[in-house]
Amino acid sequence: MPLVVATLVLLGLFCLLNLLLTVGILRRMRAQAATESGALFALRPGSAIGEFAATTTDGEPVTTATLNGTVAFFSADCAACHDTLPDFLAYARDRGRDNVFAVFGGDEPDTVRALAEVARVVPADLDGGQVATAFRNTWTPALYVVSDGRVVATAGRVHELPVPAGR
Amino acid sequence: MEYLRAACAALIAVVFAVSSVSKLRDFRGFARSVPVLVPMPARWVLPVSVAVVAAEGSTAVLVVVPATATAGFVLASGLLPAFTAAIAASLRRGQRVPCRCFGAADTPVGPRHLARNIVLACLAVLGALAPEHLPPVAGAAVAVAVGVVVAVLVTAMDDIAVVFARSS
Repeated sequence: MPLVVATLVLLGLFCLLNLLLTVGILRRMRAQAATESGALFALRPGSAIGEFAATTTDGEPVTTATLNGTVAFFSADCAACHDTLPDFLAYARDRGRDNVFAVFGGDEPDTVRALAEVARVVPADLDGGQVATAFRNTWTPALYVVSDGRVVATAGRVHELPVPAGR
Repeated sequence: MEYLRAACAALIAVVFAVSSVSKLRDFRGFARSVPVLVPMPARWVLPVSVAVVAAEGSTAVLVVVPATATAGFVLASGLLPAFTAAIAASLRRGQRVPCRCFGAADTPVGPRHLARNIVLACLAVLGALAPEHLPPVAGAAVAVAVGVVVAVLVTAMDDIAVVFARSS
């Protein structure tokens, strides 16, 4: 009899532990769902950018220190990137070539040439390479406004970017 | 019936302890949510928030001690209808404010919170009415365990509801 009681108590404790673990998992799951829904950008305004060193298509070196202005991530085979490209080209002409960087993932010579006329283009692998790692960027199209090694604003489309002061 | 009292005591104690501690952990957030749920003058917000947390904490303590258990049950059966009325009024106004019953939450108050509070209130009344003498230890332990398990389910109600919600 004492053995039966002890076994039942043990089972009861295990069941309670199991219940608490399940509740814990559910809480974690809900918290994750809440953060993922609004987190296309790992870096928020104010976040520091990681270190990187890359070279543009014209052979100019680009580092975190020299990166000031707008940084855009595009990739080949990305329909949304092509949709927003005309807007971006107009925006880049407006801002001036020195203030606009485009990181292009993949191999699409025509698009890269069009971008290179108005912006400094960093060619990269499809995953966006070093610069994407520094920005922890996993999405295209993705636009960042950068100043002094920190993110000022993020956007998914050109028209969502903040309008520069003095215009 | 004395087992029912033990189970109800454990249930009320755990539920109220969890709700007061979780409100204390984010007291400012809770205080901000009070006027949203129950419109009131700004100078009342802090006293009301403090009163709610204090009443919940003392309910949890009172119900555990056999000598004051009845007082604890009575306090709980007073608090729960008050919360229920607040939620019902908010629902009637058509607002969907988050329920901070157990700390920070993004679940809007809904009919299920009403149902939960009504059931808890009934159990508090039952506990108050049940005979007072203490049951044998073994049976009491089982009854308390049942109360604790139900309390865990009640406090995790919103988390569990997510599992059965129709994915939208």
